[in-house]
Amino acid sequence: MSIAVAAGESVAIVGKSGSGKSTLMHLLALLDTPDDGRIVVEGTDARSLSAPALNKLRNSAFGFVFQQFFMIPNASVLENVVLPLKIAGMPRAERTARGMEVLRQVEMQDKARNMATALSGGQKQRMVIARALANEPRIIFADEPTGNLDSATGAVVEDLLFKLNAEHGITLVVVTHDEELAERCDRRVYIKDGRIVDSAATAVEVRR
Amino acid sequence: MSLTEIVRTAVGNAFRSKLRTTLTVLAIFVGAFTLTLTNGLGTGITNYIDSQVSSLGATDIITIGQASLAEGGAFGAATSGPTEYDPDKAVVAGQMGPQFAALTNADLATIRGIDGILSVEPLRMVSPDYIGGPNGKKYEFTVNPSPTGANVAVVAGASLGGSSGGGTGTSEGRQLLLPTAYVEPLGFASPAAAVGATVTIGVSDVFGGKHELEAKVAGVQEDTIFAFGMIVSEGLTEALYAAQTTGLPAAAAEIYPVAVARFSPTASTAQVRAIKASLEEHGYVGQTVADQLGTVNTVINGIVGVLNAFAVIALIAASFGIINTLLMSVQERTREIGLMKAMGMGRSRIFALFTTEAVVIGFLGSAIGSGIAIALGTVISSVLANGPLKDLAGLRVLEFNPVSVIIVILVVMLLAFVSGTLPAARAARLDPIEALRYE
Repeated sequence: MSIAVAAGESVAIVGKSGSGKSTLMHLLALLDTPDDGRIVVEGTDARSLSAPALNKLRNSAFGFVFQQFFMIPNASVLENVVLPLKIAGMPRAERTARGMEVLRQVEMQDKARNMATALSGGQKQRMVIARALANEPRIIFADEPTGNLDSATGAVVEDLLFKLNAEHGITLVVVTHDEELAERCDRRVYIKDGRIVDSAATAVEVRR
Repeated sequence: MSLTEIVRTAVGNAFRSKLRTTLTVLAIFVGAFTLTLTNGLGTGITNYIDSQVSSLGATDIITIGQASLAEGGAFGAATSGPTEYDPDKAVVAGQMGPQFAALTNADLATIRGIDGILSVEPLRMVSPDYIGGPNGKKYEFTVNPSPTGANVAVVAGASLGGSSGGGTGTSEGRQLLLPTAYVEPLGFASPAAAVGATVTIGVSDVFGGKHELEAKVAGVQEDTIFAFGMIVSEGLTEALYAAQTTGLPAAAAEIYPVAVARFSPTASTAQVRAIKASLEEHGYVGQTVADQLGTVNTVINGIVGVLNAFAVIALIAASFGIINTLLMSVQERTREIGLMKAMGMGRSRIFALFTTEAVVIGFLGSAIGSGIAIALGTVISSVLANGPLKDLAGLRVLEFNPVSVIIVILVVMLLAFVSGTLPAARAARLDPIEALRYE
């Protein structure tokens, strides 16, 4: 298969479970290496990057939003949000300021000191989005971001993601089996048994 | 992630599962506690022996006699077979009981010429009859024949300075250190009252003549396990010797059973060995205080070594506890590790994070263990020193040397680090995708 994601674009990878859509996202996010073929990031073959360079790229340019949230239990919302900054080695004061800023973006600033595990599902996902935003990524990978949420809170999270895409030009790669969510993306790639079976662009994709 | 951040996070992680961490810390605590106590025991007893050494003699002196003395049994280091009689050998006759092959002034000159020997003084054996105090009562006593160091432990007054100078007191004049046991019988109210007082010493010469000398009490000596008699100043020894040899011809008075030589206090073991070798070449034998105490120290070090081995076994058992705790921790945090790896945390940092957590657990266990051991040990040794061991003045059974306590803590931390490497390597190797999928 061949897939190209342009900067500022929103792409939905759609398929049933086991279709290989998550594997495709992992490949795109450089978490996995392909058995065959190449992944080119901004003109550089990912295989030519060393492990530390790969880590640095993921840390500085990628944001991750997972269906199961993956948060650090027994830690505050703020501590969870600043985790990528901590890994990047940002000093504490700077980190806290940046963490509060992204929490404001997802309207969670008043929950900063709360324990992460005490949040509701929608709040957890907004916290995870704030965490993905903390390092000012150029691309956000979202794996079933609304999978664990009811439709009302799911809609809030969706709106947030597309707002970031529209206002900050952050590229969005969403893995989903939710047709409605996929419809909102600029482009949809349908996966079945590890192959692209169809791809469609929405009419609004006129900007590129 | 910066190093301070790793340490801070590791400390936080260690306390995420409080009960588990506490139990592991407790296991290390037991080992570190025992190791600190056994070390304290070693230090306490060694320190006591060392302090006793000064009552036995200074550490920079060597006692020298004719080589044939060795077979005489006085030095205990027999070579082989009986020695043939040599009528030309000078012999200390009569006054000291058994006959000794003696040293003459010529021998002293030879010894003085040996490389490394700073000074030689003949050892004048004096055997006074009695000591009398202000209440008029007289008691038998013996004089410590060997010259002593300046730092004999005293309960009151000052110790006598060595003849090489230095020390708190002075060797000038006729002075002595009174053993504690003599304070009350001689009629002194307290050790402090005895200091500065004058006592009378009776001595008989070889012809039966009685002489009485006066001496000043410079200080009161602590009780010691090496009670080899009263320590007297060189001036007093000379006066007693002169009284004892009254009427003897110079040839008879100027022969001595042994001589005492001083070498540099900073001399190395090898240098001391060289001095002993050249003494042997000239037909003399020399013995230092270290030689006399060598066996005692070897036995004590052996006992402390065995006790330490038990403590180390406890620590090894505890280190398996660390491995277990961290393996469980890695298991529990698999997804978190996957997340951190996805976010770009490198393998080495993950490894550092978990080994640091192990070191934190090790540090907590050893610091608390050592701290409580020191507190408890100090109380126990005070109780013992004022109770059952009261008779051994100056003995503190448990003494804690900061350097060895710090070494114990560092060794435990190192052990914890080594234990942490297995779980940490497992965490570092985790594949982020597998880890995130882990249920």
